[in-house]
Amino acid sequence: MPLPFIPLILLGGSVIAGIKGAVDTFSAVQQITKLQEAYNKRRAEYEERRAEYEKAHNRLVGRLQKLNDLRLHAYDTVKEAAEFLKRARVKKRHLAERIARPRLEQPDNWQGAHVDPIETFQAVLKAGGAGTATAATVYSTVGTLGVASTGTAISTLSGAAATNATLAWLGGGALAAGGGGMALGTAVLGGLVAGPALLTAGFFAQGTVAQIKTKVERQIAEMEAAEEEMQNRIAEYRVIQKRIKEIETTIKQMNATLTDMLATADPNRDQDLFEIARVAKALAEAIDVKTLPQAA
Amino acid sequence: MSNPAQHIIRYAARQVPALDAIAVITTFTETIQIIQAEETKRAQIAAQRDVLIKALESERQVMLAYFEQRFAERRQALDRFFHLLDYGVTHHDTASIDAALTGILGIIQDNPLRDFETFKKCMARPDFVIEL
Repeated sequence: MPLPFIPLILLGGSVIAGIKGAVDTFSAVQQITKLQEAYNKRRAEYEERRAEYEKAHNRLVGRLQKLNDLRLHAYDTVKEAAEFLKRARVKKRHLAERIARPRLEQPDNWQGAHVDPIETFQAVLKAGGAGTATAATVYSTVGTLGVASTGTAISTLSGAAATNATLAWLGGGALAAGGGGMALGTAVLGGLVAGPALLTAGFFAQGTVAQIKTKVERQIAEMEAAEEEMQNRIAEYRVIQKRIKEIETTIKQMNATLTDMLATADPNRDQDLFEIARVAKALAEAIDVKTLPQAA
Repeated sequence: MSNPAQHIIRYAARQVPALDAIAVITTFTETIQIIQAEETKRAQIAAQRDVLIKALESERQVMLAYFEQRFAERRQALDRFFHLLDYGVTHHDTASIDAALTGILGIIQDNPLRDFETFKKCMARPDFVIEL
């Protein structure tokens, strides 16, 4: 006699396992979706910070350009002083030649942080082998437990007879004996495959969620660190702006002094000529002062 | 005649891609191990991030405070030298003009931005203490 409750119990267990697996898999998909949303939101914020950093960088470049314009303007005043001294027949007429034309400076380009886009998960769908394996194991176990409709132990059968007897046993016995027969047995076997497969898929999905969560948190941590680095670079730019302002103010004041001196100087008075030469030389040296240290 | 159990197993093996009765349990234990390992990794990531961000914040604050003071002192000194220059030019005082121009050039030719590298090296030392 077949034991019809055993396939039912197996099928029931498989259904429960399948439900559990399906719930876990669904939950995993939802968690991954949330992680992707969290990453995308954080990434958008990071891009805003990066844009702010780029603006700060561009402001600094613009400021350096203005400083260079001021240098060229002041250089004209130095040339004017040189012409004045030349007209006054001062011996040191080579003053102008001693003044090097200021070189334009550019801050170094910062490449910025780069975070690779998150890899989309595909592993959830990889599971399933364990479910089919379990079904195969059950199928083989039937051979040792079940009895064919003829009353012969399945384990003593072979070939197609053993296969048919096993499927019939899973179906609750042969049709002739009031059972579901091989057709139902085949369906039960299919059900036995699906349950454990889903359960394993659920486990696998939870593991995948944990790995993706780590990856997202690592990339968010990298973005946070990169933002702090950018804040520090912006702070350095503020310091460089102070340096630019210092040089600008110095050149402007010295240029204004020299311009006033040229406007009021007497070309026949040696004291005036000497003072102009002295201030013009100092202005030329101020024009040549580097904004950034050589190493930068 | 072949062993019936072997026959059934072979039949089942043709129906499924793998035959491992404990695959479910193996997957379950592996999943638990993965989840625990990933939790450890995340805790490590968070700790490293916190330390790094704190260090960068501290570096920024100290750097800004240091250079704020440094440039303010330089500005005051420059203002005094420009007053001296104005005085020298107005009174045709060569000594004052020379002193003023030497002072002005001495300040602006001394680039304080060189301190960036020194500053960063100091901040990297755990025993470094800065007095503001």
